[in-house]
Amino acid sequence: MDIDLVFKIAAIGIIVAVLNQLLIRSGREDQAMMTTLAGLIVVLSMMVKEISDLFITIKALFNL
Amino acid sequence: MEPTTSMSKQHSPRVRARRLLALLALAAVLTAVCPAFCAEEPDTPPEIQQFLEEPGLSAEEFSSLSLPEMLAMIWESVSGELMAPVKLLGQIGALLLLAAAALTFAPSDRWRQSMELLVVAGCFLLSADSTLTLVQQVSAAISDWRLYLTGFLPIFAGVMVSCGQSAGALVCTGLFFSMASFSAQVICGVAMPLVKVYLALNSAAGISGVSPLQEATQGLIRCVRSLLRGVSVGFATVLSLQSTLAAQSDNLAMRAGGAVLSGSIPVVGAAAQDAMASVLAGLRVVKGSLGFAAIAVLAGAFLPLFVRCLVMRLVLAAGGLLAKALGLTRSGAVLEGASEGVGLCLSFLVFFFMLVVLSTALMIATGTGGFLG
Amino acid sequence: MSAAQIGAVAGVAIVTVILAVLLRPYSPVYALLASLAGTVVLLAWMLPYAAQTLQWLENVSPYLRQEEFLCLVRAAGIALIAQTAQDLCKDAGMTAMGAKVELAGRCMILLSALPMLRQVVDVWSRLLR
Repeated sequence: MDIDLVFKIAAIGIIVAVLNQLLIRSGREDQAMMTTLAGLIVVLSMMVKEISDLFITIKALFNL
Repeated sequence: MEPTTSMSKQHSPRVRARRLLALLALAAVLTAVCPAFCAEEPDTPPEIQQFLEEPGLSAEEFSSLSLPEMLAMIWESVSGELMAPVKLLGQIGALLLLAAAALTFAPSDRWRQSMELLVVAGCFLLSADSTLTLVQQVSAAISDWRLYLTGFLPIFAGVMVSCGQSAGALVCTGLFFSMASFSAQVICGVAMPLVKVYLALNSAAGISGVSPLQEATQGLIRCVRSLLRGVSVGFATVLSLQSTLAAQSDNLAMRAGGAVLSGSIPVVGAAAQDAMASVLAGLRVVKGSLGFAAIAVLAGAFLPLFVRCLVMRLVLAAGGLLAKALGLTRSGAVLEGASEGVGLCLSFLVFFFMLVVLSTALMIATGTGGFLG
Repeated sequence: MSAAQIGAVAGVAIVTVILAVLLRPYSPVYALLASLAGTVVLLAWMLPYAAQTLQWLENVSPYLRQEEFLCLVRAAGIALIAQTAQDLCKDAGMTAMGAKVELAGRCMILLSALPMLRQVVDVWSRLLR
């Protein structure tokens, strides 16, 4: 895990935002909504593993 | 230890780095000191009864002892008492160190309070066992001596009257001994339970962190102190009336001893200093006679407990200082409060020793066929 | 961890903050996610070093009672996790959620201190008997 994770998420965020704007301008609100959701799911699936790893490490470390 | 040095540099916002540096110095000392003391086991305290049955020192032995031999004997009886408190100090220090380190992990000051609760409880539990034993030993010792003062002396006075030593008997039944037994009863019945309550209340105040409770604790200890002061002032008054023994009190060594007493022992130090004059004057009279054996036995019973109390007081005070230096004010307050409580026990001990020795010396001195008139 | 790495930590934090601020006008969710990712990255990066410190403390712990050591370390862990979650909540503007997380953290710390408190009460009863 590295700073790459942050960059990836930010990149996905920017792409999704741009797509979102484009789709809204061209009058396809439903697709814009779907794009946002899809991006969110991708980002979350990337992060869930990292977060769970982190919590497992913390639990082991602090005897929780 | 190396990783920690660098850790302190890594997440070193403000104060925490300083605290960690202080920790490091402490840890170096601890790791050097602790293993040596952890192996030691505190020996059981010698029973007073055993002392009375088999005195470690007879009058003949005492009069033949030289100063170095006597000092060696005193050191032998004292050094056994030092191990357990030093181990306790090591434990308290390690806990405080750990606590300060754990507080550096705590992300913000709002977590301090709940984490300091743990530290306070931990400090109290660490010191509780030895403090509890000490308090029990002190109260057992002073109730034994109260028994001696209120039970044994009147009988002895009766024996003296029947033997024709009416001057000695007069001292035994006079104002002095009524005052002595009254003080003994006040301390045993009122002051000692109050000290126990104080110790409990002190830890409660520390753990809860409620300020009215802390004020109540302070009030309680002030109350016990003034009680003790009242008793010792009354006793000193009686003592000054009974000026048969305080003949030569202007003595440099005695002054020095008095300064130590009044500096390190709260409340009764000055009274004990006054009384020491009488005791020493009495000792000059009775040295070499059988009376000295009695006083030596009393001192032998008194000294280990006295040293234990004194060392415990110093250890707790040092722990308190350490806690305050590490920024754990509540634990520091609890440790210092416990140290005050042990200091009061120390005062009781000194006061009682003074009572017993004075009674014995007075009785013996006036009982040696009109030696002093 | 050498002292130079504090620079790396600061760099990660600043880059994350810049990215999050950049994203915020377009999609606040992604801004929050970016800051969450930054948090996770930093924590995961630092934990091995924290582990070294804890290891060293564990070497000191034989002089302590094991219970107190575990209790304190556990409290530190609880505080760390709860504070992280709370800060994220606060960043998202949800202070109410953050307060609940803090409450839960305090409850957990008290809960882990319960055996010690029981012992304290035991000592009191012995003292006052």
